[in-house]
Amino acid sequence: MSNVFQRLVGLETEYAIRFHSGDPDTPHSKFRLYEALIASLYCRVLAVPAKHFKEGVFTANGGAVWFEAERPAAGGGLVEGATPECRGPREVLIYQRAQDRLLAESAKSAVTNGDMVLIKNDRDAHDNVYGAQENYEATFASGWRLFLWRAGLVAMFPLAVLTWIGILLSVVVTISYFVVAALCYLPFQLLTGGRHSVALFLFGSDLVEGRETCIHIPVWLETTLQIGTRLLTAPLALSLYVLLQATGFCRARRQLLPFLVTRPVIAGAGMIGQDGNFYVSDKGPSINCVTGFGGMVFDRPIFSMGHFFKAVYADSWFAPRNYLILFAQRQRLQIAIGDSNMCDTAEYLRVGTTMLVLDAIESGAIRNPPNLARPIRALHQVCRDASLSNELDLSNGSTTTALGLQRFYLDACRTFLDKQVDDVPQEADEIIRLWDQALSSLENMSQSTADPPAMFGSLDWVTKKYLIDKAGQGSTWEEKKKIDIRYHELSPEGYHELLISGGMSPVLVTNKEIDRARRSAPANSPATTRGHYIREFADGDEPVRANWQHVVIGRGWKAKVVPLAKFGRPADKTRIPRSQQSNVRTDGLHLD
Amino acid sequence: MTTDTIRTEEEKCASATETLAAIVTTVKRDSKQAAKAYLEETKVPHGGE
Repeated sequence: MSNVFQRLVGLETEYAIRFHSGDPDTPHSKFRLYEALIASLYCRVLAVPAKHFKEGVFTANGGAVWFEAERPAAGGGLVEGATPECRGPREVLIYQRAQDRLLAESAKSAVTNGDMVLIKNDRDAHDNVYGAQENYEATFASGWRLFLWRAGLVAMFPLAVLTWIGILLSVVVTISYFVVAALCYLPFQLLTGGRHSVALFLFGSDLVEGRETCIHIPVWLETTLQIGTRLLTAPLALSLYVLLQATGFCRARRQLLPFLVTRPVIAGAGMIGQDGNFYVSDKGPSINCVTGFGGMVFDRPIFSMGHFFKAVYADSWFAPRNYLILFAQRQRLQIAIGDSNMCDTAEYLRVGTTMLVLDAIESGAIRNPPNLARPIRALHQVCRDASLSNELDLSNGSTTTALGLQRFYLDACRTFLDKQVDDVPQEADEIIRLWDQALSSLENMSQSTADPPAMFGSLDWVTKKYLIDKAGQGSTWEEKKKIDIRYHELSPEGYHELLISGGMSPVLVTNKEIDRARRSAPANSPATTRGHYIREFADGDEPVRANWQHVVIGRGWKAKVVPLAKFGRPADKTRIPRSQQSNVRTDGLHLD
Repeated sequence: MTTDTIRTEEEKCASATETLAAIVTTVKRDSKQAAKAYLEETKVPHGGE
């Protein structure tokens, strides 16, 4: 069996919430809006609460919806959707579109005293960044690196336990604070009738005004706890970071890097920056390191290892057996550089090309890719160069363009596929064809006078730039930024949605496929089992909760725990030998 | 390619051009309406991951 498209893959997408209130005097916290959306979602699909430290639900197709917030008491909050674990880029695209549609419909009918819509983008007008992450199952390490990783995990366990005790103590201190604050405030209220501002300072808006931000503490205490937690977990975080840098995904990270740095030319969403210039990528300009935990110390990495840190200090605290999962050789490689795509072609290419490059790397077909001298500087160069002509410095002293690097990876993947005798999925050829077509169009873009340009409606940044250039002529920065953001609005008024309605952006998946993906999980994946249990037991008498590792049915010690890790191997029937692929489509992507 | 086929392709092109022009006009008009308020409504304090 070939090594093409065998791995699990899934997308996480953070959606901004836009709420236009019918009653401006009634403030709506982001968490309240999220709760209303979830209530609306429960009317549409079967779902169960998540068994996780984060607020969320799992749906019958195996995917999840979360409330994602960095600082909820201070007004933060996003809706995060996660596709189920899929096999192959086309399947991911179908589940991503099913998720977009389900959440958009749920948001539309969630509230009655205003309009709520979701924005699937990566950055607001104030330069707050959020957006998308991709997760690929990959070989974490082998040989001495794997041994070192496992030995390090064993050695680190006492430090993890100390950190858990520290977190427990901080919870006790927080509860004690509320008891002391209440005992002090009570006589003050009895004597003076109380004062709103004092109560708000001591107890926060959730307890005083019933705002429901998801965290029942005042803003200053949230800030203190956030800083305190970071200090408390710093020794563990630092140890884990050093260990991960030395052992985790070393080959994949090194050989993927030039590909990912230049990938915005095909998968960037584009944006208007604070300086008024157009950037190829929405999230790319905010990336400031190659590997990091993603937000721990204001880091925005290309490769995020934050899930390892969360697994050690949070997941394992709630269920210590989760610590054992970290010993596995195959782990989740999280890529945090990608933009949220609206165009089907761009989303398909983002996942498909990355999977192919990973397959080629793990098979040893890509050994010495051109090495960028300064990857983060090169990424920023790529992002601000809509002409795609900038030369990037390589570590051997020569230079190349972003398109040149993409060509290198395309050629390497083509050679890799050609060497596979049979058993290659049809869509691997489709990805190569589309990738080649996209690069050729971009290479000819500067000489072309086509209006609209080639790849308009297929690549997001090309499409958005055209709209801003045409519709934003003579406009203010705010008006151009509105075009940038409303392009991503999941409503009939969203600008990309207008292009879809007008037939100006190719749609690669059918309504039938999307409807099916909304109800059923992908085959041959842990999501298959998760979805099965949710469908069977969501309406039963026993409570059901789920997460990425388990489904838990029932309460307390008698609860039945179904581990999902042992499920999900791909079946042979999903593969078609190349020799039998005489009817490979060339004009579209619909396989059925 | 027959004359009819060429004519149909030309009609399709003209239709696509008109559709795009209409969308650009809609975007231009809409983007000028309460742009600052829209940007405030879509604000995400503190961002995300």
